[in-house]
Amino acid sequence: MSVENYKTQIKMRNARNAAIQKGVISVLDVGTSKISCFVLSFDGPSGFKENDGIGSMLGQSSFRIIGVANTKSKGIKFGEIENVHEVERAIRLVAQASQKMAGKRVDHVIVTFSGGSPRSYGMAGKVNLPEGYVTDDCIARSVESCDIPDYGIGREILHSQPVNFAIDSRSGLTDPRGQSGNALSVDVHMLTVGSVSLENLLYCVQRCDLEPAGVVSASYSASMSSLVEDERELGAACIDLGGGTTGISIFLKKHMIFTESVRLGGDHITGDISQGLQVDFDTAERIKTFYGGVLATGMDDRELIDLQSNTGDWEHDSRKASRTEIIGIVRPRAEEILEEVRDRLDAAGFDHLPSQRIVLTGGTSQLAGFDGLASKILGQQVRLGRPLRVHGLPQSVSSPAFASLVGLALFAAHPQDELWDFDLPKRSYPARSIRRTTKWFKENW
Amino acid sequence: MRSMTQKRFMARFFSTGSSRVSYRLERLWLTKYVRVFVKCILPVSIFLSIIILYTLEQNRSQYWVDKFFGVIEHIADKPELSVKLISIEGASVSLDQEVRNTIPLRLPVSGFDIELDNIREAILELPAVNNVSIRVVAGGILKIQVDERTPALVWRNQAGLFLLGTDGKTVGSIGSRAERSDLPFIAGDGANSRISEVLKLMELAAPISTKILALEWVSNYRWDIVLSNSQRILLPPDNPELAIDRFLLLNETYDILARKISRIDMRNERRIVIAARIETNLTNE
Repeated sequence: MSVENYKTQIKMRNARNAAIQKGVISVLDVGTSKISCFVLSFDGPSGFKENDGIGSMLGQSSFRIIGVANTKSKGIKFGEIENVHEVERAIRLVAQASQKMAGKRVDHVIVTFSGGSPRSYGMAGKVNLPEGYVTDDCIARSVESCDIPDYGIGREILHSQPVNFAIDSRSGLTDPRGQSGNALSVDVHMLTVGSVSLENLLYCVQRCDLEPAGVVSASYSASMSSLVEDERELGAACIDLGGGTTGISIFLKKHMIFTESVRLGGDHITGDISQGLQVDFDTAERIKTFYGGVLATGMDDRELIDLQSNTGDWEHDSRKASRTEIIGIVRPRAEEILEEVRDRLDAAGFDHLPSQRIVLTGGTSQLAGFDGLASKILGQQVRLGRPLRVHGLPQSVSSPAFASLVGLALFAAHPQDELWDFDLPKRSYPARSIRRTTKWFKENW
Repeated sequence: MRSMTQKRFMARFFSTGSSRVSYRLERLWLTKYVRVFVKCILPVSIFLSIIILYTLEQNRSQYWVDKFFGVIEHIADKPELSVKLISIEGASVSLDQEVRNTIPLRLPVSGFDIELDNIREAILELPAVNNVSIRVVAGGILKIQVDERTPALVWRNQAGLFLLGTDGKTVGSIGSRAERSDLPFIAGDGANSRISEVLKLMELAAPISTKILALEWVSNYRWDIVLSNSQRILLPPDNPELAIDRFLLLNETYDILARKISRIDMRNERRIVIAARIETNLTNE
């Protein structure tokens, strides 16, 4: 892990602490089809208690949403920024609107990132325990001892979370501190993304006078709000069907163990409709939203839909298409997306998990009959996930399309420990030399 | 390929999102301290500074001060509020004049300028005034209700003849006894502090009151009753009432006063001394 990367992450973590101290922070979801922003108000430091853990309320009682804004995004393809100025303006729009609604100025923002072709790595580290029990220092050393794989030039670490601790032969520990043993080993899940697209995103945010207080993988944050606790414990995959990308995140023992993203999404379905029916993109989006589906019935043959294009050619503009035709366009693409997801899940070894629950979320999951299709391709345990209710969440943004943003709000309140949250292990030499110096002073003065 | 330069130029005027400047201004406005400053501190300070700058010019402030007092004066000078008349009730003619001389007012005067407490104190200082109440009543009248101290005795000392109230305070002075022959007459230094005693003795001595000329306080310790035909009854310092009773009994029995007696000494209750009068030509003169 590069030092630069480490410093950036530490800086963002400090910014987040400062924001929580202030009591307001905004969360921003820069997606392919929409950009939306929440302003969260925290109850203050007293709202966070060490022993709270993740309770049944999942910590959402400690904050409330006081500002919401949402706009159509421009200049983003596959979750990556294509036109910096367009995106900057859109971010500025949602930031301004949400701050106006909140009535507060917000300086810090946590951003989701769905592009940059994320790649997951598993790492393991192991240290001996000289004291005979696990101290904070031991954990830091064990994390540091992880053998970081060569993830390539032009990539950066987005997440690196310790997911499992093992002392000697006992595995599956979440908090090993204070336990006795001879050796501590740790499993770390690391997620890397392309650094160029990440930098573009941070550049856009900084251009809006906002200080990034963290970047979170979109598929991770979507699963934060859509998976329930037992799914996260027993093993589940959250499929975040977005506009440009489909994020996959696999959870086991309350930790994310795998993340992947398919560069296919709802926009491709819209594009197919647009091409197939020869209508413009916005009309295709409307047709998909109102009449889209994946399972044709006899009734759908008789349902004719106006293709309201406005070229001026009456013959062209007054065409009609039956719903079966539309479903005929949507279904192959939906199958393609789900098959891609199936491949990624197979590659990750999802079928070895104790429970193989699949939760569909994101805007595209609202397509009629999508869960039925998904259960045919991905397995029987499919359900549609909606974001959890949090304080102050308006009805208009409680659809699955906002799962990622709501999850980000939950993440802001209850962040996961990352590699950079552990102090650098104390090198024994300087500490001993200082101790020796003070001892010398005490003896001689 | 779309034009990049043109688009950005036009975007300044027709941008769908908010411009950078408006975004920054909005954020500035949402900043807590800026809001407090603009909404509270700024208007208050502007308002105060205008007032201060306005009043800093001497003439202007003087103008307003003059105007303020002018208004007050204007109200005070209204004829409805001025006092034109003094009415004194419960005072004799001489006291009435005396009270009028005491009041330091030049009528007509505004009701605002009369200080009733001062006037009241000035009137109370007059010896003949027991109590006084003053108020301004409708119609511009200063009403003075005087409770006059009525003289009960005439007292002679070395300085002259004085009228005394029942409380022993001097009410006034007279030139001769004849002016108030209706009042009992006492003499002697310190007699004025024993008025109640005098009144009681006079009451006891009522049967011979026509003959009594005066009560004299002798040597600041006992009383003499001075009678008309140069007779004198000497009373003891202790229990003079009993002595008077005894004398009256004696007089009733023997009609002493009709006899040629100059002095009846009652000072010793066991031994009454009666001095006969020696008539000489000298005394007759």
